[in-house]
Amino acid sequence: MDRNVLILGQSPLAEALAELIGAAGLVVHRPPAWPETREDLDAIFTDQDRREHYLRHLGEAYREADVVIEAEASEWMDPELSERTLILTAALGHSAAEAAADIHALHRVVGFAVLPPMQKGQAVELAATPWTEARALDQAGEFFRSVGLEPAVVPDGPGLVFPRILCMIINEAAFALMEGVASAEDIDTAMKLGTNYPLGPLEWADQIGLDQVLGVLEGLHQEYGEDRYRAAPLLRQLVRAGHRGRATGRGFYTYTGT
Amino acid sequence: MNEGVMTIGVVGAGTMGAGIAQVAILGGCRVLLHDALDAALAKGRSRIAQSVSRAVERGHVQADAAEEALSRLESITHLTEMRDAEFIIEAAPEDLSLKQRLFAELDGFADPGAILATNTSSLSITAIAGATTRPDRVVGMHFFNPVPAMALVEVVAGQRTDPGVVDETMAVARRLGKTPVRAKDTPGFIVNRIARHFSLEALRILGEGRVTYDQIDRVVKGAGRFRMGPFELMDLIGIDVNFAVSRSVYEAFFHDPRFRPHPIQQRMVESGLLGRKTGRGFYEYPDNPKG
Repeated sequence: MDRNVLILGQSPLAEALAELIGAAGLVVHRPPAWPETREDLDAIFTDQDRREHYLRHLGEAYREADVVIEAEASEWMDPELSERTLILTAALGHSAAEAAADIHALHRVVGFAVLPPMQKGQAVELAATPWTEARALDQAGEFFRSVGLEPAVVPDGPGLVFPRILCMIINEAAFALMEGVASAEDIDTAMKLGTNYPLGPLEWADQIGLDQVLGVLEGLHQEYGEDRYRAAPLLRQLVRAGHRGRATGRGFYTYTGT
Repeated sequence: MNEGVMTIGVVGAGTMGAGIAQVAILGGCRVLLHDALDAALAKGRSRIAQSVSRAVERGHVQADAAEEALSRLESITHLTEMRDAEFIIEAAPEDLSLKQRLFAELDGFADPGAILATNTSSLSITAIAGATTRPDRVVGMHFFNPVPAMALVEVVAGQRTDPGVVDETMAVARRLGKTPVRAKDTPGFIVNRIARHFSLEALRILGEGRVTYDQIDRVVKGAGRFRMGPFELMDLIGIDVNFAVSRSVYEAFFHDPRFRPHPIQQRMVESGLLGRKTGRGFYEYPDNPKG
């Protein structure tokens, strides 16, 4: 049970999960060439032929997977996933229910949220959709526990609980940086020393991936239609420029030798 | 600024003023401490003496260094006795007109080369500086409570503050053993602006009625390695204090919806459940029976 895990996505979350799950002794499969940008991803999955080609390309890994994890703040997953698969979708840029609605085996879909940097014992949030069967929720809890995370069930929604709060903090830090209130270093120092945050919001964002943070904010903005969730233009501009954080060598900070 | 013993005037001997005076004497400065109320001045002095002796007991400070530091602390009954101070830090209550009156008075006699700093978490430095004839020499210094334990100081430049004054203030903060950061004079500066969302977004989630405050706290601590959850933190700070800061930042941003306070905060304040200090806020604190 749960031997083969297919992780879709190339976000820092996908990388961190692959590492954690691999270290727990499970077999991790990654798609051969996950599209670089969300636009490419959308293009593949909205075009029937390209989608089928891509899924054929995934081949065995897809058919053999016991658990499929979609670990991006985007909302695409193969609608044809089988009943025997546990389907975990990152409820970041969308609620789990939104992702599940497109999937035939929708009762097998469980939402989750956890953000890098990750370590053993960290809480992972789980969310059921209106269709999730109790067994799938239990299996999701067992699965995450088996790789060293602590599951906690919360209500479904974009960003669930913690990513929603953290992305609002990061967004405010991005607004403050954009407006010249302080430098990125001073903002991070102030939040760590003034409020005991474990990481400064901007360095944290660089580890999560700025596109992922933007995805959560866009998901909230769409769900609530409220201006409070409007993303800081600076965040959008950095993502547009391909500066998605540490993984691309540049986000709010520039990284050398990574 | 010379490298010898620096004279710092501290206006206000309450929790913040006493804390600032303490780190200043331990940082090798001579401190002239003033409070409009004699009783408050005496209380501030004894608070500093107690806190310094605790630091000695814990081994943070040598006994002779502590004694020497305390000898550099002078209580003064008239504000004008600060006229030879090179640096004056005002730590009066957070009331704009009170601070403006104090700065107008300081402006009348302070040395022309002195820097006038205001310790505020939420008032406009520019508005306080505007009460003087030398807005270029006025700067914000936002210390955090408790001052001896919290390393951060936000050094805030008002609209007309001279950049050299900001640099000198950064150096003074370091002399006091603090880690200063530079901020522009904008509502909430850095920390009180960005940290708003830790409680406000948690309140929004709670307000949706599908998850409890203690569940939110557990998830935030477990998922984010925060030492306290948002509701534990609000109870610690005081729900009334947190609500007042939220309102002030919201007003200062002309009602930007990002900063909108939440009705739950208002209900808690109306009900008198203010947090630890009343024995009950979101959580109950049986050891503090005042609630």
